[in-house]
Amino acid sequence: MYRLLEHTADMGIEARARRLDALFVQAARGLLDILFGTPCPGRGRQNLALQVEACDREELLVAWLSELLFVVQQRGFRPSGLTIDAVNAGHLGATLCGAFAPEEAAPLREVKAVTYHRLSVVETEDGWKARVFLDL
Amino acid sequence: MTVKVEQIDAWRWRIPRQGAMHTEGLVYASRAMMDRLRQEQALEQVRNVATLPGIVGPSLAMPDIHWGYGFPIGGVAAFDADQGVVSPGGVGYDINCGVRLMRSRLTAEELRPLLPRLTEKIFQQVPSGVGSCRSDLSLTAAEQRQVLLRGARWAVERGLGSAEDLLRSQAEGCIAEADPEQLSERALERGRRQLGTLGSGNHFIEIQYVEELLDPQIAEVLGLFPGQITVAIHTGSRGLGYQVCDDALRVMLRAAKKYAIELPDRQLCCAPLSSTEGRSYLAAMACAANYAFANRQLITVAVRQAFEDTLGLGAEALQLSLIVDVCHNIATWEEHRFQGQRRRLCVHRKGATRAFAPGHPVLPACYRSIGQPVLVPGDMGRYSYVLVGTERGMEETFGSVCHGAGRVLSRHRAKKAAHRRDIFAEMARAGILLRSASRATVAEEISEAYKDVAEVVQVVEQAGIGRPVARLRPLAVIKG
Repeated sequence: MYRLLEHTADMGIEARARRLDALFVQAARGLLDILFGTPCPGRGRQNLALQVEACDREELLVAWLSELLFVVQQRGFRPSGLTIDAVNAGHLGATLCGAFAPEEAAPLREVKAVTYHRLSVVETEDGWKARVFLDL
Repeated sequence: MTVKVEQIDAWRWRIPRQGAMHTEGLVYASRAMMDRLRQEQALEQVRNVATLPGIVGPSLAMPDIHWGYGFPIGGVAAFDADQGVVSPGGVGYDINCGVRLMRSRLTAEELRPLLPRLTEKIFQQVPSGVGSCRSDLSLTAAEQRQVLLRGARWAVERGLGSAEDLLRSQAEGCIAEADPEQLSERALERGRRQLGTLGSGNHFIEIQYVEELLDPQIAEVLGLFPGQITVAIHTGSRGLGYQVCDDALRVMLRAAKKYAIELPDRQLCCAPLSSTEGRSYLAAMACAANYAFANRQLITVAVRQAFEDTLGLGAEALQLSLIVDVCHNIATWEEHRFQGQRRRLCVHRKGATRAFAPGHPVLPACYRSIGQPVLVPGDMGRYSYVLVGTERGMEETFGSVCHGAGRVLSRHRAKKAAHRRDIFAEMARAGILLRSASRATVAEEISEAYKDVAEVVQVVEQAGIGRPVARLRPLAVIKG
């Protein structure tokens, strides 16, 4: 699950999940919710593979959300679903399901970037918890 | 963690040096502003900036300070050329986001009957909204390279604007150290079709009138008179700038480790100004800054055309001339006198505006007697101010003032406050025509989401770091 965090000028996402891969899915759903008001803005069935690398889990979270943001905002991909195929401390492979169809859903707002401000990915007693802020 | 704050006088507050801080913090605020600030993270961010290596003078915050990411919005920090660092987070994602102000020969009474047509025309001619791009202008790789190298000069050389536009822009609309080779393919891709677009969020074009002259002598030098129509444009480097910052942060995270720089917040990641990483970032930042200058120049040309078409008057009759173009997200090399010595410093302004004092050698001759003019926009429902820089500002803030009103409500709270209200009708009742690509943006940008800019300007004036010249009232607002 995820919840959106208040910030004076921007917005944040707090995600929780039992497993690390599910945590990255929840954070992505939070980003899509901020962009479109729904975590599943698309209808298409085309698969799009994404690969990102970073030097730790926190930076991997930023890299993953930034990649998703790029294909959505710049390339017009509208995801109808997403799965994390593999994730460890430095690498993430994901498959987006959807279509390059910007007309399917118009973003509510522009997200400039995913920031490193107060960024965290921590293991908790019942799984994983992440916090990330976006620049709007 | 609570940040210790000591009151210096009615408008200044000190964050004493402690822990890893290399210097103290200095915040310009009224007591009421400080009471609000204590409840958010911005003071902690002023303190964090003070821990960066090579900082010269205090970690400063202007009175529009609010919670940012890394640096506070409203933050100013100067760094020594040899010992200091450059931090992309201290510039922000929207590199050279800034404002420009134009004056005209028209009065509000003359324009009022044509205002709806004019507003619609500008709205049609300047693409705005989320991801706005130009269908009629896609830059070739060679053209884009020239934009990145030459900024607003590129536009003026193509007949889009005048030499006077350049003269009245910060850095004459072009930062010299730009190197397009430092930009990623993604940054170039994102910039290809967005030149001449407004974007969304708090970006705007505003048709205003001069409501009151607060310093008639300086106003006369700026060519301002009561009731006169002015136009303000607020936008930046669009997706290209965001990508330049994003790319640089990844490099700087590694650089901070390489140079053993302790970071209280990863968003403050940085590298020595003299390092390869630092120089590369400054060269890429200059490209994005030049893109932003060219962006505002193209919008200026579109606005002038809309005025000419709607009023059926030529450029000579309208005299829509630039007063100033200023950057509020940038790091620039500047010479300052600090503790009796001339120093070459890299001044980061994140949501703050350069406002040099009268007599400063970088000012154009037309402004040398009055100081650098600055536009401080308020929210869309109230007013904006024209200020000029002061000598005290040079002494205390490296010649910097606020950049706007500063948010007080989160977007979520603003949206809640706007729920079930017709903001367009409310604005119309206040005599302001509002046109926007998005109702959601309008809800997030309601007046109550911002401090009253008059209170912000009052702090600047009372502290002596800027001098108010005129107050401008909006007649029509175009939001992204």
